[in-house]
Amino acid sequence: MKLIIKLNSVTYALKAKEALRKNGISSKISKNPNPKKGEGCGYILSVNNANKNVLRILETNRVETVDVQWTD
Amino acid sequence: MDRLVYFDNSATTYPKPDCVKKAVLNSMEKFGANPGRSGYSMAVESAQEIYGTRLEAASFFNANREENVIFCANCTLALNFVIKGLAKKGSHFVISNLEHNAVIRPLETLKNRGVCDYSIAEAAADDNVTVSNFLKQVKDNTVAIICTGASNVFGEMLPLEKLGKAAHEKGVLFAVDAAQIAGVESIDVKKMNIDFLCVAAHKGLYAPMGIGMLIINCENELETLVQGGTGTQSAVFLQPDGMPERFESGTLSLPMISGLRAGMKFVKSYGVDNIRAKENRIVKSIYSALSQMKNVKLYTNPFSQEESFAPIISFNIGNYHSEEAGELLSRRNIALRAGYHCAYSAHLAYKTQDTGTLRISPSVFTTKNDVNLLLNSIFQIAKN
Repeated sequence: MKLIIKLNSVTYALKAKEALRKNGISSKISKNPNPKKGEGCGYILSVNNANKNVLRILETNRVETVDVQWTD
Repeated sequence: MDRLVYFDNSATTYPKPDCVKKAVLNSMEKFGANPGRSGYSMAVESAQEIYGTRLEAASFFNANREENVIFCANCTLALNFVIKGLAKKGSHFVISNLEHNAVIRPLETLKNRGVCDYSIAEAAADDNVTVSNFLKQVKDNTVAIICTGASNVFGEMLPLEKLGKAAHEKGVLFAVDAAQIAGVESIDVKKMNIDFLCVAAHKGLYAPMGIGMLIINCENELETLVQGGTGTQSAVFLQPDGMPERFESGTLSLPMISGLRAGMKFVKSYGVDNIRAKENRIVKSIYSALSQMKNVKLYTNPFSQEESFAPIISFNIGNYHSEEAGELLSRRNIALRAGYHCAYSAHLAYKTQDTGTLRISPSVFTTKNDVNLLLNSIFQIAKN
C-alpha cells in the first residue's frame, strides 16, 4: 500500500520525512497537486510499501498532518 | 596601512570562520530556489537546508521542537516578536537595569501608547538578591520577565536558571536576550526554564550579519508582529497558526541561514566551554595589564568575578570621553566600541553615563599579538 500524507507546510513535510528516515523508512516530498478549494498551498509526503507504523511514528514525533490517504 | 586589530566582537565577530564563508557561497550556488514555496528539486533542497539548520539550533540550545526555531533578521526583531506578541492592554513586564535598547525601546514605545507598563529590577552581585529584586517587581498583571543574559557593556551576567525557575513559580513567562552569551555560555532552554530565547547569530555563533533566531520553548501563542506570505494555506486571509511559518512571513535569507548552520557547527566543534576559557584568558591578561596603567579606569574584575561575567572589559582613559579615546585608538587601527553601546540603562547602573565607556571584546581568533598591539596603543594614549 502507498501512503499519501498531506501537510500544511514544507517544514512539517521535512519533519515527517526526517522522522521516517530515522526509522529506516524512505519517503518523497512534493507539492500537493490537488489542493481543496479554499485550502491553498500545501505539501504531500509519499511513502511506498507503507504500514500503520508510519502513522504511529508521525504521531510520536508530533507531526501535524492535514489528511492521510491509502492507495494501491 | 597596518592591519586592523579587531576587539569589537561583541558588536559582531570578525573574522568569520572559513567554513561559514564557504557555506554562504555554497548556499547561493546550490540552494538558489525559494524554500517552502514550490515542489521542484532545488526548492525542496533549499527547504531541507533550512530545516537542517532548525535541527542544529534546536540541538544547540536543547529546544524541544525544531519547528519552534524561528529565523528572523536579528536579535532585536526576535525581542520585538516576544514583547509585542505578549503585550496586551494593561499587561506588565519586568526587566533588568542592564537591558539593551532592543528591550527597553519596544517596551517604552508600548508604554507611551498606553498599551502596557514595565518595571526595572536591579541586578546585584549576589544572585539571590537579583532574583529577589525581580520578584519584588512582579505584579498580578505581569506576563513576563525579560532580561539580558549578559550586559553588552560590562559583561555582567544574570542568573538565568534561578530567574527562570522563579518566574515560572510566579506563573510568568521568561524571555532572554542572549545576544552576548550565545556561543560563549552554554544555554539549555529546558534546564533554564527559558520560554523565549532571542539570539543574535552574527556574534558568538560566527554567522554573517542579518540573521537571528527566536526559539520558543512553551505552548504560549504569541500574537504575530508581521503577517504575509508563508507558502502555506494561501487561500486563508488570516495568518496561519502553523510553526514556524506563522512568524516567518516573506522569503527567508537562506545564505545567511546556511552561514548560521556552519557557525553553530564551528562553535560546537571548538566547544562553548573552550571558547569561553580562551576568551577569559585573553580578558584576564588585558585586565592585568590595564590595571597597571595609570589613567586607566576599569569597572569589573574578571579575576574575582569570572563565573558571573561574560568576557568583556569596559574601561575609560583619563578624562577623555570614551568616543574621543575611541577615535584616538581608531587612528592606530584598533577597533573597539566606544560610547553608550545602545544600552544607556547599563551606563546609569554603573554611573558611566557622562562619558560612556570603551569596550574590549575578544573572539576565538584573537591573538597574543592583537593583545600586545591593543595594550601598547592604550598605553601610549593613557601616558599622556
